[in-house]
Amino acid sequence: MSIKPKRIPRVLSIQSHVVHGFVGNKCATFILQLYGFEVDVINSVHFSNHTGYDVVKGSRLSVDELRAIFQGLIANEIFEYDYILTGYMGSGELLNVVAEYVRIIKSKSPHVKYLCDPVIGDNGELYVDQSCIEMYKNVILPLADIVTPNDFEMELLIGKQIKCNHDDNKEQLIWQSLQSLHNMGPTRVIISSISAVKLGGKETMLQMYASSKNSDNQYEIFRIDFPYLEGCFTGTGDLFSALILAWFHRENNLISACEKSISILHQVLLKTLETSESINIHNTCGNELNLIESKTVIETAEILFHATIIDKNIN
Amino acid sequence: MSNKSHRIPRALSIQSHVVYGYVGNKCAAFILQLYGFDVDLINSVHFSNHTGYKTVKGSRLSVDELRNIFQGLLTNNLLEYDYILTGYMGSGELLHVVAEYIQLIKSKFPHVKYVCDPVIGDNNKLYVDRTCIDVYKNEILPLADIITPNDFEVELLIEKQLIGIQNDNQDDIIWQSLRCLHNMGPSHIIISSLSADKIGGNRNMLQLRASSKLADNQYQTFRIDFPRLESSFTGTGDSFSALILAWFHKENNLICACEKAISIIHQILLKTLELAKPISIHNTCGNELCLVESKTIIESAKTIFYAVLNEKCNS
Repeated sequence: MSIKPKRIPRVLSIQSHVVHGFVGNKCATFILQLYGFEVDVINSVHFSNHTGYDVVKGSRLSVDELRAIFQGLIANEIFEYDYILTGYMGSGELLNVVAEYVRIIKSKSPHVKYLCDPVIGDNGELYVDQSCIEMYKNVILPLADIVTPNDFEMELLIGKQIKCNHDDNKEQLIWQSLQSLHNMGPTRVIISSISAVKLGGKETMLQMYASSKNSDNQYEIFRIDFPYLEGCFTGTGDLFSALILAWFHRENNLISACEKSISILHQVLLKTLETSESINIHNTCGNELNLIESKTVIETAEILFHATIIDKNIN
Repeated sequence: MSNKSHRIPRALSIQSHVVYGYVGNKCAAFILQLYGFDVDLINSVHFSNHTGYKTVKGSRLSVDELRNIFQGLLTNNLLEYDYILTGYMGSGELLHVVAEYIQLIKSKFPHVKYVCDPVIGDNNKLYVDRTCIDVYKNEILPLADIITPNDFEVELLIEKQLIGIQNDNQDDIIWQSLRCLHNMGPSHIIISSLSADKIGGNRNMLQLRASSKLADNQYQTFRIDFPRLESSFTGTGDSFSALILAWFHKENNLICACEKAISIIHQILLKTLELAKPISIHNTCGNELCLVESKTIIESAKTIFYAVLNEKCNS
């Protein structure tokens, strides 16, 4: 009896490439390949290192170059995916081209899931051109299935700040924000980490909030509490979105995917602190993730933090 | 007692990047990261797919861009490696810049080992600009520790015919040719596959021929016989050189490194054939390697082919 073997899942990842260190596609490729995904890698930039170093040298993919790459894949009929993943995209123009081809992919293969990390900035600071914000809101989010903004990005996308002191307003406010994002397109929204202090909680804790909308317009909202680690790291957001993609594929539900991802992320940070030599003096942003040293941690995938369901069936 | 921490080995790999498929840095990164190397990746091109497809779209790194990347790494004190690996380099100009910075790295860190796959062509056909040949001979080979030319490349580098003269001296001619190459710089030379019928053997077999210079006028030469597979593949040379680097690092001798590398490549090819993925009709070069599906094979690293050693000889 001959059984045709099932092929491994295919991802298209469009993020930055750094020669040294782990952000963008360097994170995503390692993680996803480790988990058995075929990853097609489009590099939106080719930089010596991430932008937190004193010096950054390299070049950006132009709109024409990006189009040419897509055209090449289409012409060779190798443009077929199960997942699309995007992260840092320096300009609204580039995002627009990405949206165009995401539409083409989704129209050919309706089962494709698009995970979008809407990289705009953090801690009140923009990383990208202002033009990206409107692009994300109007063009990209309507195509996305899963979106993973941080709290700053969420505030920019919905046009409202999340901040309150009273416990009883907190989750209502979060829920409204999540719902606003759902209304822009994605059925799954994850706010990867809000400092618990912002919500009147402990300084040493962080909180991830997420929400899943099913076909009956029912929502499942939950949060995961996890400890804040002393230290700055780069690439955590890119690591997180790759983990979410992998575990959402494996578990097919957002709660398990988040429990896995937050837990593994935390263990990678611990491993990084444990194995790091001193931080390079030219790096103003803290630790590069020690992803290679974390291979076992990533593969073992131990859950340390569990979700707290907040509410079900809110319309 | 304070020990200098055993950081993982760092490699700099300068090869092509393809969005889809496995050649160049797509092979090297996957393999070396799996084996616990921190790999810095300079992408000499950014193409949709390898050049055997009917359409290839993308761009090449210019000499200025390459210099910029090196300068960025240098300024940030990141240009520190244990290994350097180069493969396909489209022009002599680019190779020249690479030679310049390898010289710089080696002068600062004399322990660095440089594995060079001198990609020039195959089967009497050039893949690169003619200008590369002289740069390899005069600038690159003097810096290289291990080189992995094919038989055509050996002939171009030493300007002498390697095989084809059917007589009893075939073996001697091969070893003397490798000696010429040693005199150009490298202590270790591997011709990864000679068709056995070219040297009077069975057309179903291939041979690896290698030579290590142990001391002035002292050489260890050996061969490994392994079966030819009926099928074409791309990326085997790039995967082979990455495997050689990894296993030379682990075993610290060329014989073990070659046994491992040839054995693992063969098992990857078998796995690729077993999975029988349909080859795109636009791909004129045969099977893309199923590297991700071969992860266990790569990690298990079973030796299935063994070296036949010659007596250590003096010239």
